[in-house]
Amino acid sequence: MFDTLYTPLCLFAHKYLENIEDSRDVVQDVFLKIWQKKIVFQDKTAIKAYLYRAVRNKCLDFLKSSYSQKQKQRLGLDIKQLEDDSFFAREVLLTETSEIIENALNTLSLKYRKVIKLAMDGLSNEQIAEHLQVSINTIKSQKKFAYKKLRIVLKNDVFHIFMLLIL
Amino acid sequence: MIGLERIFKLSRKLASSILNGDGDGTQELQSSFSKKDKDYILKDLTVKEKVLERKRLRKELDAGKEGQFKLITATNKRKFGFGYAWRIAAVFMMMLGISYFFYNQLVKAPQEEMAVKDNVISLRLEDGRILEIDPNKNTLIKGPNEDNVIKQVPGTLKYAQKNNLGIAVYNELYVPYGKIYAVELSDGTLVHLNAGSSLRYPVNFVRGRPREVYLTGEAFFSVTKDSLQPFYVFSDGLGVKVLGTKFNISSYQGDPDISTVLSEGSVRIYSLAEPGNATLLTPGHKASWDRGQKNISVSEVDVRLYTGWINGEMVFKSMPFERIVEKLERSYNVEIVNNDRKLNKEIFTATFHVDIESIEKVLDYIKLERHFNYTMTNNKIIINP
Repeated sequence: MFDTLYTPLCLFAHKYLENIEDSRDVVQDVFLKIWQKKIVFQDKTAIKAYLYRAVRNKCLDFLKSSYSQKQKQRLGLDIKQLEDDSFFAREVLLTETSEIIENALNTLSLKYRKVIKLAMDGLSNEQIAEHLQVSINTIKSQKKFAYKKLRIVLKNDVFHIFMLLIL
Repeated sequence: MIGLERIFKLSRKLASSILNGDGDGTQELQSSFSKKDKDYILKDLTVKEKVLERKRLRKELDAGKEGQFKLITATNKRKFGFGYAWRIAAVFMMMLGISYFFYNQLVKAPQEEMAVKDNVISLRLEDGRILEIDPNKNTLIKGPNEDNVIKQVPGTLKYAQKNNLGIAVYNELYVPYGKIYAVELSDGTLVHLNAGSSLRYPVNFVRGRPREVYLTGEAFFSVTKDSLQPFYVFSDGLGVKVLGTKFNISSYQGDPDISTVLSEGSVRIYSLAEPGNATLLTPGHKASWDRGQKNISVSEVDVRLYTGWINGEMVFKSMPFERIVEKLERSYNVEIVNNDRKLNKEIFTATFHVDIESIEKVLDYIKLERHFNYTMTNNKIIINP
């Protein structure tokens, strides 16, 4: 759990705190708490939901504490905006989506990953072929294969697959 | 609160639509987010700089992950079996907190800010009370929290070493002109404070948080090593990050710069305006932070020149008279008015000892090198050509 969620949660906290050290501290605190209290969850969605909320709350507490008052002024952060639910929803969505993309891409071999990344940048098949110095048909078939694989990965819960990969 | 489950589902759709390069997922975004948020989300996920920035952060976080994991699980082992005690402690702390709150509200509300006298060493406690400290006595000082006992032994104030999981409460120590004093913080860090300085520090350092203190004036730090809790000194726009090391910081208000001299270990120095841009200082070097230009320059120095004051030594090396005057004023708690303009720019090299030589002796010695006249009434010295 820690292994898959630590980094995305830190990235999520970073959206609030804009400081990597503080983000680490906050996420560490949250994990420490569930470790110590041995909180048990029904399923992984519940864990994730709990962790995102806990990190959000900790971040807001932290920003309101006197420790960060000074730094906050400098950054000109608007805490009202950060407290808003829509900010929370937006950032959870962002963190999750980018995490899924990242993990999905990581299941592909380097060759395919390159093609997909270029396609995501909006390049056409011709442009990719030119860029990688291969024929356009190669690109087409590579893309086809990669998407096929990605579809399988995405259909299943990425979280699940990732766990399997680790174990 | 929003149903996160829906958000997670949405993330999956959005991710696959971005990977496939089609527009399915973006359609769905519309139903849950405003147009502004939708644009922001798409931009954040697809614009190259944003993606690269996230990649960089991810790398940095992944690198530290294992250490963090060990830290969390290790703390857990140590705490194993204390769950019940913790719960009691939490309730107790809460009661304490509530009663302290009411106590403050009801009893002490109309308390005025007390002023610090300028001729005694003073300690401002977390409740605002100011105590005078006689540096030659052995005394025990009790803070508002009964558990925090502060010991005063000749020349040093000592805080008990204790772990604290709550919030940091600060004390502030003032050392007037003409005196030097030291404080041992709760982590064992020893800080020597030079004349005319003050230090604000937590009574107990909170575990898992960086150790932070605030300085005006001059101090020599011997920081206890603790790689999990870096030690920071903040002084007027400058930050110094330390792991465990010995160094001197001079940050008097009138001086054009804040100088940090390192005798052991290593420290990072940065402007609070640009925390990412730090200068690494190695032993035997001095970093000068120019208050006006807001930049840092590093030069090689003889460390003894900057640390002799701890033992009452005043070391002047190729120093203009005007700078010497400032130091003499602070160390002897006198006021010096110099009417000999040319003398101000004269350069001197000398070593004096505050406890051995009186201010008159010091001036007499300097007079032998370059003649001038002076008169002294009470604590005011007037120099004439």
